[in-house]
Amino acid sequence: MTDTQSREAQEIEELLPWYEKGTLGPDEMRRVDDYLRAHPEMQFRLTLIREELAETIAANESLGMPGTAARDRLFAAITAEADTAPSVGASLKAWWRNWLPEGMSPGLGLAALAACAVIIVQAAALVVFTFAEPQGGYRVAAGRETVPAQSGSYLFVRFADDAKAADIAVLLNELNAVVVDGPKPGGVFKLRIADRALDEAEREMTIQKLREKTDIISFVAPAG
Amino acid sequence: MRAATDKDLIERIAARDQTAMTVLYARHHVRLYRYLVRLTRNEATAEELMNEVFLECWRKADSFEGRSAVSTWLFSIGHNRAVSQMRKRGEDQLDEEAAAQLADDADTPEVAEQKRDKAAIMRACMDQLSTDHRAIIDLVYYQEASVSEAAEILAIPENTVKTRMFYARKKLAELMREAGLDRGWP
Repeated sequence: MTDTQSREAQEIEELLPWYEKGTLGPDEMRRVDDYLRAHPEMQFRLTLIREELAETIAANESLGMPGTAARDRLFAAITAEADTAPSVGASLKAWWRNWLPEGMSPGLGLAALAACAVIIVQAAALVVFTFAEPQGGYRVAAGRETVPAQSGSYLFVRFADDAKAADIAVLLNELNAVVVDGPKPGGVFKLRIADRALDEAEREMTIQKLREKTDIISFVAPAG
Repeated sequence: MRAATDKDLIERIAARDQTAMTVLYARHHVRLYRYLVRLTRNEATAEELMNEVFLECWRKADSFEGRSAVSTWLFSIGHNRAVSQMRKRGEDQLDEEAAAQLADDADTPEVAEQKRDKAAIMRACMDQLSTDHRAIIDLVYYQEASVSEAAEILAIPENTVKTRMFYARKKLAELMREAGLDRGWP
């Protein structure tokens, strides 16, 4: 047997389990059919596969079914989650899907959105550089007060993918924190956690509190 | 009226439709559970893993992009979770020799008698295969996964799927030969 013949025999042999199950594509089915017609001795291998197949099915069928208690636990968990607000990610994705023109892939839509965002950012930069006040400062998320850029204590955080908007709001409220910037690259937001400069121990305590909320916060680090 | 496809159900699940979740669960839970039992060799663990898979499906239905079958997606999540849990417990290190030793130690005269039966020998030998080999055999023979579906579930290239299946069968034949049953292959 030449190397080519030997390689072909090996390739066919590897396909036989799927051939027997009928899960090959039409081209490969035809290829195996042709090979088996030309090499009837290979039929014996199919007999072995049928034995393995029968035993695998028998072993699986003998396992029975999962208990109803497992099902009840699952659907209790699902019902509990269904009663809470959808995740931030799910809401955004649903909103995004609704805005996409029919037939446009999410990737293409995202590219179009990114292009628009670049144009908007450039336009905003022009406005800011042209009309910016000479003093440093920015509006906080609530938009009711202006905080000097250097005052207060800040942290960088990234929210967990599954974090729910309601949970984030409760956590920020508990900490008396406000999102002042973001999302930055990597989905990072800047939080103001106090109006004054906290000492090291106070800031570390807040960081620790956030780190413990692993279902809401996936990353936290001091910001400046 | 046309029955809802799995992809229809996933869209409804993304919109928080619990009835759709119930239908999807009814369609896939038995096969998924059996796959996980065969992989972990533990029914309670398999039940918990199965629940984790469906809970993840509920939470992340909106991220399902429809490039593969829903069942492939579910099995892929289940396989990952099972392997990672077994790795944490050091169970994937259980090699075939150790498994064979366990089987021998556990043999009662009754089991020894049964082992003379060809089917029983084959089944015992299948249980002694490594996790990777058990997984591919179950996926192809029982779960009816195509080459590309098995590749996605196991997160390996299609060529590796084919060679892994070949070596799993070869190992099975070797174990059977050692157990006194020469199949004349390889």
